[in-house]
Amino acid sequence: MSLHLIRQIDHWQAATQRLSDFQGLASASTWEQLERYTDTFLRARLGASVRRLQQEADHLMQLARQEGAREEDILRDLQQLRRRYLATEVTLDYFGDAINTRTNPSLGRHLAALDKLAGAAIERALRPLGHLVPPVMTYIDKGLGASILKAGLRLWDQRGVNPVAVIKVVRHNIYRPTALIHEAGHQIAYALNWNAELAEVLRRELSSESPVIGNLWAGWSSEIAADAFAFAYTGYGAVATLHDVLSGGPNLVFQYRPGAVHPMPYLRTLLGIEMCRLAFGSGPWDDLERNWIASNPLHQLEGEIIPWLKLNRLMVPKVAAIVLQRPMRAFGGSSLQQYLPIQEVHPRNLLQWGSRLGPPNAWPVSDLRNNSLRLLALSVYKQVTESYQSPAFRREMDHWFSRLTDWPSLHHSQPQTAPALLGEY
Amino acid sequence: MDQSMYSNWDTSTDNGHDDLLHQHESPFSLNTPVVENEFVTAPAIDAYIERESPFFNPLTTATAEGESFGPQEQAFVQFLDEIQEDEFSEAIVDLANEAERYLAEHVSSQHTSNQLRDAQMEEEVLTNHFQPLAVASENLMDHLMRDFAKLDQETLTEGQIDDIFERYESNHSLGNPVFEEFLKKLWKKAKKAAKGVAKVVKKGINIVKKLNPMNLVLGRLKKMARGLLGKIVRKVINRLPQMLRNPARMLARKLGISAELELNEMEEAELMVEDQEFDLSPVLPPASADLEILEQEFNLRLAEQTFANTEEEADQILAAYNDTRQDLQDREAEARFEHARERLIEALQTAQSPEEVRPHVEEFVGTALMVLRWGIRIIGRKRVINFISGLFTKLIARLIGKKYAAPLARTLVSKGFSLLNLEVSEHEADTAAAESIAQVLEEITYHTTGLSAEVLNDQELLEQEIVEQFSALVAQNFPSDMVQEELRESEVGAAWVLLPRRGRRRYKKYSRVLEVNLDRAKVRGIKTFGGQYLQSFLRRRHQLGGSYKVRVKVHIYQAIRGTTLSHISLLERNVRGLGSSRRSAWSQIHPLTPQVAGQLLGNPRLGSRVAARWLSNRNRIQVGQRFYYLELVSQAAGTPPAPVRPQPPRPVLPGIPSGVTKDDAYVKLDFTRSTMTLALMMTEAKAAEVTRRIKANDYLGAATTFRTSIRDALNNILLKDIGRHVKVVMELSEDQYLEDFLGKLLKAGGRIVGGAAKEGLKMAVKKIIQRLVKLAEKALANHLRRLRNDFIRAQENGAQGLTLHLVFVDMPGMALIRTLFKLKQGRPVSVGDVTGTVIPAIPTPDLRIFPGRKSL
Repeated sequence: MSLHLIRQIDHWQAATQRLSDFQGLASASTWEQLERYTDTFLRARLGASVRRLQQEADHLMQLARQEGAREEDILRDLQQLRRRYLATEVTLDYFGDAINTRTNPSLGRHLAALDKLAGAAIERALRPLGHLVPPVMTYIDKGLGASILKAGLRLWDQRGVNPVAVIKVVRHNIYRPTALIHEAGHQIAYALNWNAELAEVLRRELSSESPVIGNLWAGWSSEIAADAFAFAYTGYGAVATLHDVLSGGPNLVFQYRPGAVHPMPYLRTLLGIEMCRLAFGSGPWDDLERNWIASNPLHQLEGEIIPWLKLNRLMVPKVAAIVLQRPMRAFGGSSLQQYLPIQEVHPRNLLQWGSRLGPPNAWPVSDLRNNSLRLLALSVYKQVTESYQSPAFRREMDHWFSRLTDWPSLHHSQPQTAPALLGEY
Repeated sequence: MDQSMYSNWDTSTDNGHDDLLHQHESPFSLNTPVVENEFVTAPAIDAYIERESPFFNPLTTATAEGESFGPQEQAFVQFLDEIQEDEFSEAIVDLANEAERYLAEHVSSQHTSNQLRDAQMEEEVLTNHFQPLAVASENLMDHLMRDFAKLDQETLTEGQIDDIFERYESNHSLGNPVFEEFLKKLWKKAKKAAKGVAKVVKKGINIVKKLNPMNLVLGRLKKMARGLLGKIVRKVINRLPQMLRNPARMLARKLGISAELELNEMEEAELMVEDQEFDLSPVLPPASADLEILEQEFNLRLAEQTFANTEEEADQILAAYNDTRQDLQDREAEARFEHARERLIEALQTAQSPEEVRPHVEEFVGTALMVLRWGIRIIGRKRVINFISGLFTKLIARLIGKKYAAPLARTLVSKGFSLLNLEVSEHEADTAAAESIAQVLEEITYHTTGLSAEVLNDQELLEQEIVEQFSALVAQNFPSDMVQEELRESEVGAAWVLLPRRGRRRYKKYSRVLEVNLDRAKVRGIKTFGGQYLQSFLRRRHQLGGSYKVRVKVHIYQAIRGTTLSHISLLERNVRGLGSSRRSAWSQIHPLTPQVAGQLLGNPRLGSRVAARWLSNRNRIQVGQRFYYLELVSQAAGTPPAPVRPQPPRPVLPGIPSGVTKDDAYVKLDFTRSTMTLALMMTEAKAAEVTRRIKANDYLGAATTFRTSIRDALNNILLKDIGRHVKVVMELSEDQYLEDFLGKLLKAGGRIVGGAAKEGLKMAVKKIIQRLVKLAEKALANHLRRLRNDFIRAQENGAQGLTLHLVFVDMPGMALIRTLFKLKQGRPVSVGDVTGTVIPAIPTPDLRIFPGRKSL
C-alpha cells in the first residue's frame, strides 16, 4: 500500500480521535449550563456519531494494512471518510458554537432561562396529545430574526436525527424573546403535523376568492402557525415585537418573493393584530394598526400590486378566524384557542394576575417555573406598552430569569450614587 | 307645550302627544294642598359637600379685633401654611391623569358587564402600576429619617435640614416622568414639613416626639404617601361627579374650639341658590372629582398628626385618612347607576311601548339621584322620581319602537359619526340612538337637583321646567336635523356624539369641526381658564404675536359625567396636537362660553354658560360645560407673522427652582400676622421685558406692566368667585379660600341687612382695591429702582421666569375684611357701620424677588 495513502489514513484517524474530546468544542463550565436532559441527549448523539466515524477510520486503516488490499478501493473509502469527517465536524461545530455562546456566565443564565421557557411552551402543547417532548437549547447570535433547527430533522453527519431543538435568539431581542416562542411553535407544528393541515384548510377556504390567493396563504402556513403559537403563549407582546422587527421600511414591509415561506410583512403584522382583536376585542393593537397602516401607505407602491394587496388584506380576518377558531385534527379536534389558554394572556387578565401576585422576585421558585410563560407574556407586554419603564422591567426579568434556573441573581446595575430608592423592587 | 320639538319625523300616527301638559297622568291631584317646605332645597349642595355635620365654621370664633389665640393654634395654622405646596396639587392631578391613561390604554376598552368586578380589577392594576412610586416614596422617607436620626434634633438648623434633603434631591429615577415629578414634589413637601416642625419645636410648642420631630413628621408622611396614592386611584376609578369632602370642614378637634354659630346645610344651600339668582348659569354637578382638594386634606391630616397629643391619637387620624369605606360605597352606587343605565338603553332598543320603558326610567332616575347624593332628607323624593319618570316617558314616546327610533339612528350616523370619520354598525347606531335618549334623561336629572323648593313643590312649574329642559337637551343631544329650527344650535346639520365608541363614554364631541380664520382682532378679549387671555396662550404656544392670520380647525367638546380634559386629550388621537394625557396637550383645551362662541364661531349657541368658578382651572369643570381646541391648519399667505421667539428651554437642574409657565398673580391674607402678600409670577418673556425697561431706567414703565395683573388679581379675589388665587391663613386651624367665605359673606351680609349694605360693602372693598393697586405700582417702581441689580441677577438665574412678592406688613385694612367676617356671625350691622368705614392708610409694601416660581 502506498505510503502516502497510509499517511493520509493515519492523519484522518487521529483527527477523528480528537473529535471525541467535547471539551475542545466547549468548556466544561459552558456544558454545565445546559439542562442535564439536554446535555445527556446531545452528548449521546454526538458521541455516537463520533464513535461511528472512529470505527470507520479504524476499519479503513485495518483494510489498508491487509495484504492484497486494492489501492483504488482504499482511496475511495478514504475520500468517503474525509467527507464524513467534515460533515461530522460541521455537526459538532454547530453545537459547539451554540454552547459556547454561554461562556459569559450571566448570558449563560439568561439562555438557560430561555431553554426552560421554550421547553415549557413545547411541553404544554405536545404532552397532552401524547407526543414526546424534545429537549431545547438556545444560543445567541447576530441578526434580525430568530431561527430553529428542529428536533427530528436529519443532521449534516447523516447519522441520524437532531435530538435537541436548537433555537437561535438574536441579541437585540434578548429581553423580548417572543420570537423564541415562535420558533418553539415551529417545533410544535412540526410534531403535530399542523402545517399541512392548516395549509389544506387555508387553501380550501380562501380559494373561493381565487385559487391563487388560496395557494398563497397555504404556502405561508408554517410561519402563520408559528406566529399563532407565539400569540397564544405571549399575546400582544408577540405582535408588537414582531411589528418592531418587521418595521424596516417599505422594501422590507412590502417584500414578497413567490414561494417564500414568510408572509409579506405588511400582511403578517395585520394578521397578528387581527388575532388580538378576535381574541381580546379592543386594545393597544388598535393604535398599532392605525400606526402601521399610516406608516406604510399603499400609494407608494407601484400600481398593479395595490389591488392584489388590498384583496389579501381582506383575507386577514378570515385567516385569523381559521387559525384561532377552526377545530383541527392537530389539536385533537379542538381549535387553537380552545386547546391553549389564550385568555390567560389577555392584557386585562395579565395585569390583574400580575397585580395580585406581586413582584416575581418574591415568588417561590416553583411558582416561577409553573407560570414562566405567562410571566414572560406579562413582562413583554409591559415592555412594549410602557416602554419608558423598560429598564425596570428588564431588571425584573433578570431577577426572575436567574431564579428560574436556580442561580443567584447577578444584578450588576445598581446605581453607584445615593441609595437606590427602589430597593428590592 | 303645545308643539313637538321634533322635526321631520313621521307624524302619521298621531297618538295625541301635542299637548303634553294635559296628556300625562300626574301623580299629584291638582286639589291636593301644597305642604310648605315639603321639599328641602339642599340638593345641589348635598351633591358637593359632605353630609357629616356639624359644619364647623372657624370664622365664627373671630369675635373681636385684637383677640389673641393660643400659641398652639397659631403654630398649627402656620405649620399648615408652610407645608402647602401648589405644585404638589399639580402633581396629584398629573398622577390621576397618568392613572387614566394607563387604564385607557390597557383595560378600559375591555370591560365586562360586572362593573364592580371591573372596578376592583382596575384598582388592583393601578395599585400595581403605582407600586414603584409607593416604594420609592417610603424609601425616601426612610433614608431621610435615618440621616436625621444621627443629628441632635433639638438644635437642628435650617441649613442642616437643607443639607440632608439635598442628598436626595436628584435621585428620583423611576423611568416614569410623572412618578418622578410626584416624588420630587413629595420631597419638597417633606422638606417644608421638616422645617415647619423644626420651627414648632424651637417655639417650645408641645408635640408628641418633641425630641425626635423629624421622625414624627417624616414617619407620618411615609405612612400617608401610600394612602394618598390609593385615594387618587379610587377617585379615578369611581369617576363620581362629586367634590371631595372639603377638609376644612373636618377640622382639628384638638384645638377645642367650639363654633358659636354653625352655618348649617340649609342656610348654605340657600346661599348657593341666592348665588344663582344673579347668575343664570345652570346648576349642574362637577364632571369629575376635585382632586386638588386632596392636597388640602393631606396637609390637614399631616398637621393634625404632627400636633396630636399622643401616638394613638395620631394613629386614629391616620386610620381615618386611609378609610376606604366611603369610596367603596360610592363605587357600589356608581355600579348600580351604570347597570340601570345599561338596562334603560337596552329597554329603549327593544321596547315597543312606553309602558315597557317606564320602570327602567324610574330605576335610572332613582339611582342617578343616589349617586349624586341628592335628597337624602327629601320627603317627597319618591314622588319627584315618579313625576320625572312619567313625564319623561311621555316625552320620548315618539322614539320608542324601531319605526321611530330608526330615523334617529340613521341621522346620528349621517350627521354624527360619518362627519367624524367613525364607522359604526347598524347595531352600534341603534345603541347610540338609545344612549342619546338616556343622556337626555341623565342631564334632566342633574338639572332637577338644582331646582328650588318652590319649583319642586309646584307640579305645573316643575313640569314646565322639565319640558323646557327636555327641549334644550334634545337640541344638545340629538342631531340638529331632528330638532325644531328655533331650538337648533346651528344651521348646519350636526350632532353631539358620545365618545369613545369602545368602552365607557367619557365625553361628547360636536360632529362638525369648524374652520375659521384667526387673527388678533378675532381673539381680542377672549379669556381662557384662570382669566388668562387666549392671545397670551397663542403667543406662548404657537408663537403668534404681532399681526397674524391663521386658519384653524375648531374641535368642540362637551363634558358629561366623568369627563376630564386630560382624558379628552388622550382619546382624541386623530387630532393633531392631542392624543396624549400630558399637561402640555390638554392645557390647549379652552372653555367655550357663549361669548367666546359668538366671537370665534359667530354662533353663541354653541357655547355653554357656566358660573365663574368653572372657569378658574382646567381640573374643575362642570357637567354640560363646553370646550374647544384650536388645531392650526395654516398661516395665510401674504401676512407673514411676527413671531415672538421663545427662549430656549433651560434644563431643570438640581437646586434650580421650577419655572413660571404663565403670568399669574396670587394673594395671601395672613390674619395671624396681619400681613397681605401679593405674588406676581412672570414668565421668562415678561421678566426679560421688565429687565429691558429697568436697564433703560424706566422703572415706572416696568411697574406699570404689572398694573393689570394686580388689579385683576385683587378684583377676582375680593369681588368675584375665582378663589383659586387666594390663600387665607386664619388664626383658627383652617385654610380657606375666599370663594368659600367672602362671597357668601357679602351675600350673607346682604341678606341680613339688606341690599344697600351689600352694595356698600362692595364699594368699600373696591376702594381698598383701588388704593392697593396704586400703592403697589408706586412701591414696585421704587423698589425696582433700589433693587435693580437684584432683579437683573434673579432674571439671569438658571430658572425660568421670576416671582415678585409684595408684602404688606401690619396692614390695618385687614380689619375691614375681619369686619366682613363678623357679619357671618349674624350680628346686625347697620348700613352706616359698613359704608362709613374709613379706608385706613395702607403701608408701603416690601418687595422680595425670587428666581423661578415661588409659591405663597
